[in-house]
Amino acid sequence: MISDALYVTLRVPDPSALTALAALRLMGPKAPVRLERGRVWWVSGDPGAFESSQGVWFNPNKERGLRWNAAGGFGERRERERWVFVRDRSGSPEAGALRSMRERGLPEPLGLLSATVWRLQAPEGVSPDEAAQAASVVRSAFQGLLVNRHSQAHRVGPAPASLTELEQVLSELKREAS
Amino acid sequence: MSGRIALLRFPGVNCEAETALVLERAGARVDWIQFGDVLDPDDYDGFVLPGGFSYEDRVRAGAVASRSEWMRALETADEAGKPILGICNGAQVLVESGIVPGGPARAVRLALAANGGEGRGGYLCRWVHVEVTLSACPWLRSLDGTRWPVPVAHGEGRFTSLDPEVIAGIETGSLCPLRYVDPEGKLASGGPWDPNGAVGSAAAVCNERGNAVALMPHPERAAWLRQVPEGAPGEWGARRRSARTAAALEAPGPGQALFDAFVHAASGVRV
Repeated sequence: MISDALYVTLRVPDPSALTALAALRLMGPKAPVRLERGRVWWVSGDPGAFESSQGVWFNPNKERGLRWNAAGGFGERRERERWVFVRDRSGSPEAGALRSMRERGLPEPLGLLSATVWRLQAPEGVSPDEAAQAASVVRSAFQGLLVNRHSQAHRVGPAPASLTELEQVLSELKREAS
Repeated sequence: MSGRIALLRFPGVNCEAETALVLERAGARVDWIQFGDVLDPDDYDGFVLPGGFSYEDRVRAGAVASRSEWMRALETADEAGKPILGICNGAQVLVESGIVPGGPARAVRLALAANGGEGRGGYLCRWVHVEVTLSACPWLRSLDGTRWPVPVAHGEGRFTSLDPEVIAGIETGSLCPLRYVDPEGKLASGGPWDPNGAVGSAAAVCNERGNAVALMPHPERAAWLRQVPEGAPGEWGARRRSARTAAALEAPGPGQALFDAFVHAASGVRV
């Protein structure tokens, strides 16, 4: 089945990511040296979904979307990087996009999955997995930040190497969240 | 004796002025603690985190503020059993910091998730009804059984947890001092008077000792009779409709009693 993916970020430095990074730095030396926030979309069945319905996935005035590229994923791969995929246990990030597509008379994709992504780069001397664990799940006031497991599901791993891998991560996340 | 209350102003808080007024009317001496100020827990008898936003609610509502240095002072105050009240965004900060519901190593055991339930997604601002129920909170015991109208204004107000012990504590009552009810006092759960689908229709959750309360509605917006809608059902609506003079409208509204109880408890700490 044909599938495609899109990674959406702000065109300007993301205030949420900057604030999160500053808060994480208060927590100690395992804090990432770089933190970026985005939203990833995965579709199947409609190879033109991202061309025909740009306004559904992002607002081009303030955001940019990077299409999946078979050779290099979403582009720049960073060393010591981990992706933290996050999905709220309530609600559906896909529902709004599907509603927008229906309103515009666009064909709905066969499959659609989405999640928030925090891309974090570990400091030298700290393993990327350790840095991701320290930054992700909130354990107390001074441990973790990006995920409250009581209301959010998450997955941590390297940048997805293929669309199949991305689909697998997003599917698992959706299952866990529901 | 008046209690000395610290009112914590994170960047983005916007309910501090009315909260201070209500606390002062309850007899408190209120110090506004500005972002960046040092907070010495020994200087105060009680602590209030007012509503609004903190750090634009980046990451999650209350998440960044709950990593503030002030939390160390609040933890010390909590250990001393001093009353701590978080209202709306303040409640989110207390939950994200693990002060509420507390427990081993102050682990975060609760979340305030996005509003849920049929037709109740997104931000919701309206009057609801709450009932004070017997819980671990000592300073709300004098109000046990009272029922009153109060506004809510939140997008993430649904108390939820994966921890069965916390769920049980909320459902059976020890951790839940206020619940959403309908105007007749029936639990609001899932019905039209339920604003967010919280477990046990919880409008507030306290810690195990009961001194710290995370409260989602805004009692400071119901602290004068003039603030109660004329069409409100029940006793408070009737009082509002019968108030004909400016002086009558300035009488305490339904939310005042909660602040009176809080300040009374805070005053007792230093006796």
